[in-house]
Parts: sequence; structure tokens; C-alpha cells
Amino acid sequence: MPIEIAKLNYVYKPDTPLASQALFDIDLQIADGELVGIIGRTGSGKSTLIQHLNGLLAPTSGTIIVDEIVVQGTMAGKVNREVRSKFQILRERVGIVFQYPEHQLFEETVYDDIAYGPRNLGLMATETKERVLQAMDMVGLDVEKVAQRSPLHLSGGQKRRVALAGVLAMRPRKLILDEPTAGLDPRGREQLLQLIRRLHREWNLTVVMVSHHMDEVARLANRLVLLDRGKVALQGRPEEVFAQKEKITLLGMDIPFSVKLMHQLQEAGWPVNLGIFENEAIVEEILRVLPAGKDNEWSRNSRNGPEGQASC
Amino acid sequence: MESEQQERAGGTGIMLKDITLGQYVHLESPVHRLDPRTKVIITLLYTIALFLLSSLTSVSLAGVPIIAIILLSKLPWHYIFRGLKPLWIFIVFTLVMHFLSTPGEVLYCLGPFEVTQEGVIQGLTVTLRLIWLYAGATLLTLTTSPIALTDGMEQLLTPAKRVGLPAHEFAMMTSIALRFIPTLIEETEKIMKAQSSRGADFDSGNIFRRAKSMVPLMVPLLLSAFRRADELAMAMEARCYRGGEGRTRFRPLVMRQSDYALLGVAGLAFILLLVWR
Repeated sequence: MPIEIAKLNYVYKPDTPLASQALFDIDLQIADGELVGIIGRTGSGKSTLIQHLNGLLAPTSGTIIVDEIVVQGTMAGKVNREVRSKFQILRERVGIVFQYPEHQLFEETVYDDIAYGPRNLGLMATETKERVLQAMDMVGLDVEKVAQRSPLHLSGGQKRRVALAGVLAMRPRKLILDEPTAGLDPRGREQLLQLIRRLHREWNLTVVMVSHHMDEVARLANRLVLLDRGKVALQGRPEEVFAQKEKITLLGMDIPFSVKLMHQLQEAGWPVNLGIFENEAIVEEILRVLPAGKDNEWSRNSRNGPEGQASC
Repeated sequence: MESEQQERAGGTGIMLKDITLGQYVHLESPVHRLDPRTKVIITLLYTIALFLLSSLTSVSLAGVPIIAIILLSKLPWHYIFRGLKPLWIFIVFTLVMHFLSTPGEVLYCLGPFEVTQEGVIQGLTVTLRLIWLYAGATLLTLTTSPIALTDGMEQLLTPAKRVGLPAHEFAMMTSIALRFIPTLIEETEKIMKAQSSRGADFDSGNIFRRAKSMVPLMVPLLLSAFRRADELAMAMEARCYRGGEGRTRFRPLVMRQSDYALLGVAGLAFILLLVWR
């Protein structure tokens, strides 16, 4: 079942002189099986928003419904036993992978670290083992090679996979990733993005990915949500969102390189389709509009072409 | 110095407010503007003087400078005395013990206990002394930013370098430690959230369970502290830090006329007290 957020407001340090409202009347639905990208500048409320989805923050006002679990604004402040057990269930359903998740590793072996979540759920050793092995498989860690090693001695990319597996071992139906590729090299970044895509497709997880990196979100997400100063500024399919180039620039965000390229090609007079932003698809689109054999036209337009690219 | 302090205090003040440790409140007042060295020396003299005074009248009068300074500092009253709250059991205990245990003229009988006149006077004297002592120390930290305070301490301890006291290193360690308190609190919150997402429960169960549940918090926190220490050391070395030898200050501490005047008055009062006693 989906995630529904209605009229969500959140105020940090309410009733003090330092009170500051981070979220304003957020309305957002996330259907099952979606891959949603949440983008926004630093301080736009991205992290605050996602922490509501598994009860790390309780709304000041508004409602959050995850499956059949309802969290209401009036709960803020009075976290009693009932609410706490609600949050506990919520945390099984929704797994959050924080920024730099490898910093939370603490056990002596990779196996034990991934087993931390299942053990907290009070599962039997056999069930725990099954989950750990599955989670390692899901993130592409070699059980024989890695399971008994110290997580602290792995490479950066591998550590991050271990941390991701630690969340997946909780068997959440919804996975939330906060800046999952931060601090990785281009190769590690690419591999992780592929992994997220695979988790979404093969395991049918609902994925919410938070980033300020337009390029990578644009490639993966079915839907984009643009936050600005605690409000939803824009949302829709990536091509719909990127069509509003001026508004995005106005919000201080960058549009992906590929989108910029297509816009500039169009401005230069090429009849390209602006709805395309996957690297491979763009190559095909450019090949399509390039008329075979019309060398004259190409050379006439090439003055604009390279210049346009250079300024990207 | 002021703008730098303001910046630092602004950056760290919010978090520091959550824990009561040397809270600095940035205000514009003559007390804030004094050189930290002046304030440290005066606090020291005042503390010694408090213990030299013995009669209830004199200890009561010792509150006059404290109250004057509070008024001058523009600090709200509750800021200074808020911190007394955790001490109140201690204060009441001291008071009662003195009431009951000092021999002398009996005022009132409480079963086998006797409240004596001497006991009441003694108890009030000790309690007042305690309160002034606390207010004096609090005023120092409330009106002096941690950085200014460590700078001042370093300068005051410089003569002791000759006998091998590492004044600069001591001051640097203190200011780094203070600087990292809010960072570590933030880090703790982050790790707590991450582990909570994996079903960790930090606040239920008996004391052993709770202690055990701290491991997933403390290990990453310790690791991150070491990582940060490493990074900081590297950043400092990259900017050619090599201890205090020959290091100059961007904003040197300056003793103003008001500092000298105040030190003179305080010194004079202290000497008079010694003689008059």
C-alpha cells in the first residue's frame, strides 16, 4: 500500500525563540513500486521530510499514512508506548539509508553488522541468517569472502553496501536513500545507481531517493519532487519537470547536463525531442535528427553545435 | 576578537544550550568587553576573599559586587541562578546539617535535635558563600566566550612555561574540545537515528540492556571522533601549525584602561581585606 502525506508541517524546537519551520503543508503520495526522486537545495527540507516516513520525527501537524499505519500531528511531543510500538512497526516497513551510512557500522564482522536489525526484531537465528545472506546477495556482496571480515577493513563502496544490506535485512517494503552516492568515486557511484535500479526492478521495492544531484535522480526516477524552502515546488515525471527549465533555474537548481544539451540543440535549430534525457537515448536521438548524407547542412550548423556544448 | 567570537558562538551556541557547560551568552555589555584575563584574575581574587570572610554580615556584603556585575552584564537573572537548581539538594543539606550540628544557644527543639542560633548563622554563612561562589564562576563563563577564556588562561599561564607547563597546548586542547562538543552531539543524534531505523531501542529495558544498547552508538561515535581528530590534525598541519612557539595572534588580547582600573580596585580591595582581617 502507498505512502500518503497530507498537510504535513514540521517545526524544529517549537515554542522556543529558536523555533523554525522546516516543512509547510506538504502533500505527497508515493504509490507502491514507484521510484521517486526528491531533490532540493541544502536546507530545503528533504532530510526532515524523509525522517517522518519511519517515525524518526513526528509531525507537528498533518497526517502520514504508510500502509495501514496512521501517524498524526497531535502525536508530536507525547511519544507514549502506543506511539512507540507504532514507530517500531513503521521502521520494519520503511528502511532509511542515511547519508554516509558506512559511518554507522560497528560490529566485528560484516555478518553481525547486517544481523543487527533482524536481531533487534527478535528473530530466530535461522531466520536472521537467511535474511543476512539474502541481503548480502541483494547488494552483491560475496558471502564467502566478506561475511566474516571486519566491516572497517573494506573499501568505501563495499562498506556502503554492507550498510545498505543492514537496512535491507529488515525486509522493508519501502526503501529511502538519503544522498546514496555522496562521496563515492564515479565508478562506485555508477555501480550504486545500478544497484538501486536493480533493487527497484527485481525486488519490487518502492524507492525514494533524496539527492541534490539532478543527473543521477533524473536517470533513475519515474517521478521527481522538487522541494524548495519546505514546500513542494514542482513535481511530475522527469520530462515534465525538466520542461520547466526556467522555474528550476529560478529555484537555484541545475538541470541535468543531458537536458541542457537537448535544449541547446533545439535552440540551435535541431528538431530534437526534449523529453529525452537518458544518455543512450540521447545519442540515438541526435543520430536520428542528423540527416544522413546532408554534409552541407551539418557543417553549416556545426558552428553552433560545439559552442553550445562547450558552454554547458 | 569580538566578531570572531560572535561567529563561533552563533555557530555553536544553539547546540551548547542543550547541555549546561560553560554556556556563553553573547551580549553587548561592559562586562563582556573586559579582557578575559581581568575577569579570570578578579574571579580568582573574589573566590579567595569569600573564604577569608567569616561573619554573616561580611559574607552577605560580598554579594554586592556580584549583583552589581549581573546588572552591568545585562544578563537576565534566571540565567545565572538557573544552574543552582541541580545544587539545591546540596544547599538544603548543608543548611540543615549546620542548623542541627553546631553547639550553642538552643532556639528550637526538634525531637532529639536542637536548632541553635550559632547553627543558623553558620549555616546561612556557608550557604551564601556557596551561592556567591557559584554565581561568580557562572558570571565568568556566561560573559566570556570559551575561546576568549582559553586565550586568557593561556596568556596568564605563559610565565609557567619556564617550569615546563605546556600552557599553549593546554589552551589549544581545551578550545578544540569545546569546539567539538556540538559536533559530537550532532553526530550522536545522527547515529541514533540510523540505528533506530534498524530497530534499535535506546530507552527501555533494565540498566544492563540499556548499557548494551549503547554499543552500536558508542563504537561509531568513537570512530568518527578519531576520524575527525585525524582530519583536524591534517588540516592544522597543512596550515603549518607546529605548536605555540612564535605563534602570533590574529586578534591579540588587549588590556584597556577599564581593565587596569578594575584590576586596581579589585587588588586594593583584596589587600584591604587582608589587612583589615
